[in-house]
Formats: sequence, C-alpha cells, structure tokens
Amino acid sequence: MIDRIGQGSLAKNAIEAALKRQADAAKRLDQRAAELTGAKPEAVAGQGFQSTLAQGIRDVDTQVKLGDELAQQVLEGKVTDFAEVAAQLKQSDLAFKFALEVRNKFVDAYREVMRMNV
Amino acid sequence: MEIGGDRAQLLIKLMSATALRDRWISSNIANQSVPGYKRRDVRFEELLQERIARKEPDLLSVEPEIKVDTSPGSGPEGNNVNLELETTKARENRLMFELYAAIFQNRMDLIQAAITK
Amino acid sequence: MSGINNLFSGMRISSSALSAERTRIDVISKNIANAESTSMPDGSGPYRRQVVNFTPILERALDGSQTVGGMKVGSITPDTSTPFPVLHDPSHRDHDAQGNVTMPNVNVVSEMADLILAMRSYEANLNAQDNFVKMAERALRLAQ
Repeated sequence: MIDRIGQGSLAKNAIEAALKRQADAAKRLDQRAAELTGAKPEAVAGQGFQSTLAQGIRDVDTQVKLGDELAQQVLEGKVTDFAEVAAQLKQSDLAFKFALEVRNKFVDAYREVMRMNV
Repeated sequence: MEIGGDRAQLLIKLMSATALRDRWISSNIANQSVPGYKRRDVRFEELLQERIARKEPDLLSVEPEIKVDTSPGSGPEGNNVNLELETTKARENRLMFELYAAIFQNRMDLIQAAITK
Repeated sequence: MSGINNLFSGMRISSSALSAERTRIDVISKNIANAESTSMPDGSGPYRRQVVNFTPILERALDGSQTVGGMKVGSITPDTSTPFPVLHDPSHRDHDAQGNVTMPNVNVVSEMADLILAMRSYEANLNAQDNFVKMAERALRLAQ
C-alpha cells in the first residue's frame, strides 16, 4: 500500500515505519493475551490481533490501489464516466481514514491491555 | 521536498497543460474573425498515451505541444475557428481540470491523514 | 483528446449537433438575405435557395455494432425542385423583354419558420450540453 502513496518519497518512509510499529505491537498483544488467558501462543494465531490487523491492512490496500490506478486509467481512456472516478476516490479516502481510526483505537486498547496486571 | 512522488507530479503537469490549453482556446475564440488566423491545439494527453503505448517509462519528461491546425476554414481568408467547437472544447477542458484536481486532492488528503495524529 | 473521448461521449452528441445547427442557421440567414437578389454577381441569374442536408455520425459501439453518435452537415445543396417565381414588373431593374422578373426561389415566410425551428434545436442541444457538464461537476464533487 505504501508504494502507492508517494513512491520513493518521505511520506512513504514515515508510513512504512508506522506500519511496522503497529505490526510489532499486534504481535506483543497476542503474546500478552496468551499469557493472560493461559492459552498457547499458537492457538491465538489466526484469530488474534496480528492477523486481524493484517487483514484490515490488505482491505485498505485494495481500496487505495484502486484509487491510485485512476490517473493511469484516465490517461489510457479506460474511464467512461466522472461518477466512477469520484466514487472510487471517495471510497479509498474513507477506507483509509477508517483504517486510521481503527489504528488509533487499537493503540488505546494496546495501552489498556499492557497496563493490566495478572 | 516533493511529497506524493511521481504520480502526484504527473497530475500537476496534467493540470498545467490543461490550463495552457484553456489559454489557447480563449485565443482561438478571440481571433474567430481575424483573416487568415488558424486555430491552435494543445497536445499533452496524446503524447503521454503514445509513450505509454510504446512502454516507455519516463512520462515526466513529456512537455505539452502547441500545434497549429492547418485545416481549411470557411472564415475570412481561411480562418478555421468554429465557435461551437471551441466552446465545447473549453467546457470539456475545464471538466478535465476538475478531474485531475480531484485526484490530486485525494492523494494529498490521504497523505495528510496519515501524517496527522 | 483521443482516449479521453470516452469520458465525453455523452457530450459529443449534442456538441456535434450544435455545430450542424449553426451551419443551418447561417444558410437560412443567407437565403433570407438574398430573397430579392435577382441577378447574382457571377451572372448566373437569380439567387437559388440553398438547403442543408444532415447526416448521422456513425460510431462503433464496444460490441462492434454501429450506433448513431451525433449529427453533422452532410452537404449544402442548391434547391432545384422549387421553381423560380416570375413576376410582372416592368419597373424592375432586371426585367426581361416582356417586363417579367424571375425572382429567387426563396419563400421568406417559410425560411423564417425553418429559422425558428433551427434556433429551438440549437437551444435544446445547448441545454443537453449544459446538463452533461452539470452532472459531471456534481459527480466530481462526490470526491471532496
């Protein structure tokens, strides 16, 4: 996804770093959840924070990718109406902002869970 | 510092070329009765498409080209400005500008959202 | 703007008609202006009424079939079916030996009626073009 937003730019580096921190945090959350509930770490995989986060990123990636291909498609003459373009732009915009909100909530939840003592 | 990368740069060039085209359309309209005047076109999207078709990757070095339309005209001394055609092109051109601006705006908004908070 | 055409295919239809109707208006105006021209400068006699013939612009649809995509002027031809009226007026500058004058085959009332039709058609096409632009602008506002 970050390739789409600003190839080779400062924005790309910043977003890349942020996503890496999220992925690490998700992994630690999974481990902590396993400790708290006494479950094995392997059992958590596939349902835990990390996989949910990964799926979320994939969904947003699709939306952003579609939005990004628009300029290319307009040039190649594959776009047949303005509403199509506008709707796709808005969708990828909202999908991205939704993902950011989820991330923010995620960070809050992370802090909460890490503060818990067993 | 260029935030947004190559895609954004291309959109900026498209907007500039569209603005240039708008100026030449206005010139055509202003000269609709001038004897011997031939209308002008601004070519940019076609040049980009030619590059894409030839699979040449460097699109950012393409510059808009101002081309004189030498076709015969029914106006004074061969003036070939057709008012309906020019006003139609002006409207199409303006819609293209809004389209490019909307895509560019969208790209910048995403980056801004990612940076903020 | 080839390739970008797909975005404007809806508008091109009314745009082509606008240009064609404008030509028709010009020809009708010329007929009216020459309704009394009994001797043309090239010596060919009275002015002969001109008629504009429209033809559809055929386009190839995505599935290969042909569709009508607008209208253009096919040809501007002289009206050879309407006869020149002959009036008796010995005082007219271009009378012949019998005192008759051959007038242009232009019926001004009929031309005026055609002119009104052409102008209505022009306006209707202009409105169609306006609508396209408004819809496209509204669609683009979705993205904001």
